[in-house]
Amino acid sequence: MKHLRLLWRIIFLIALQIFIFNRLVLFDWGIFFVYTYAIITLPIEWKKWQVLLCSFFIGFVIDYFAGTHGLHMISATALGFARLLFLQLFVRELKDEIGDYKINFEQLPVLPFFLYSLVSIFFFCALFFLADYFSTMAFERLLTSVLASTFCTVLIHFTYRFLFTYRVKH
Amino acid sequence: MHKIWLFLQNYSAVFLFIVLELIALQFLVSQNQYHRNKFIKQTALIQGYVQQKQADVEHFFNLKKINKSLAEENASLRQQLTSTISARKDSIQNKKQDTLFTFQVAEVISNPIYTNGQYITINKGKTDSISIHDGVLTKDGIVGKVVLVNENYSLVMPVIHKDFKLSIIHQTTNSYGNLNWNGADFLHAQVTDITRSAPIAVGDTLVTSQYAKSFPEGSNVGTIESIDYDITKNFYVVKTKLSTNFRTLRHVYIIHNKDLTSIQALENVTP
Repeated sequence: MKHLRLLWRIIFLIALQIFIFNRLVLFDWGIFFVYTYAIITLPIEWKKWQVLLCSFFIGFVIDYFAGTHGLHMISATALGFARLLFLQLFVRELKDEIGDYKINFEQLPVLPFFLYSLVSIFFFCALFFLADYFSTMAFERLLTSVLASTFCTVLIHFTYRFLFTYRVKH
Repeated sequence: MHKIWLFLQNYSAVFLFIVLELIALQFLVSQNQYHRNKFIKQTALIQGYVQQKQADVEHFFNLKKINKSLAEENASLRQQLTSTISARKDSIQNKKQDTLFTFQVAEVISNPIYTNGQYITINKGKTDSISIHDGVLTKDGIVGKVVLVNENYSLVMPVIHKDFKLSIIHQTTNSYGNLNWNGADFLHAQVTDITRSAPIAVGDTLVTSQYAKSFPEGSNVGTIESIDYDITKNFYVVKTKLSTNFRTLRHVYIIHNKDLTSIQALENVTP
């Protein structure tokens, strides 16, 4: 049941990205990468290779429908690889004495989740636009795109979380 | 083997990550014209840089060989130069046409500056037709004279030896003098016997005269650094900065005067 719910969430977020958010660009700079929410909230107990393959697959699907040929794959896979490192920056004790994870993403308080999301999405956007520009020559444009897209994506993450997680919980 | 397996197991996620990223990169580069062009440009730059470094390293290891071949070429050019000059003189004077000096390259294997000895050892000897009194010089100026020869090596008395004497000439005034070393340092020697009537100045060049039979006339000796004179005598005492840097001696040219033996034989029989 839990896995089925997870699968539906991934499909739903991918669909949102493909049908709605791929067409939205804020002031010509900010892109909403809503599907990244699925990657950063994949079950924390999953093994790294599972997260990597899942992230890669999500990136592949988005690339296929967006015609971006590899851009999403590169950044989504890197995000899947680095997400636990970012989480450890803001949550001190991830595991209990037995070695099981004490937390899950849905129960994370607002501030740690905000910081975790912010850093992860900044990393993702930086990689995405670096791969897109394939150069650091236009640094100002690159930085503007990264910051604007990070802002948009974090905003949309919180909206999604409010609508589908907090509301369900309460 | 077990350790390698453990290592692979521990870092399996990293390897998987690298593989997936490479696949994604392959997609990106193969499907997008812009990225493909950029990628080719970047790889060409990196390739060029690596090849340049590789060439630099190869060049560095070949330097010794190149150095030797350049020195040999230099020797041959010097010989051609002296033969041209002597041919020009000879044609005017209707004398013999062949050149007076032959040049050879040798390597310094022992330097008195670093060994506390008095002589320079070079890696050419009797088998290379080196003989006593042959002159030794570098591209900068004179080094000394060969004083002892065995089959494969020779000893050179350098300019910075207390017994070394050489006839020199002041280039602008053609005044003659004698060069010797007073033991002060390795950079300077002193020149005596230049007449006080000659208008010499600091910075003027001193070269070998035609009486220094071991060297071609006009070989660089040094420049005047300071001028002094003895009140009781009518000659200058000139402090000379030597052209040759004895600290960096590596390759030298050995000059053989073909007529020197017969000249000396003649001089020895003088009653």
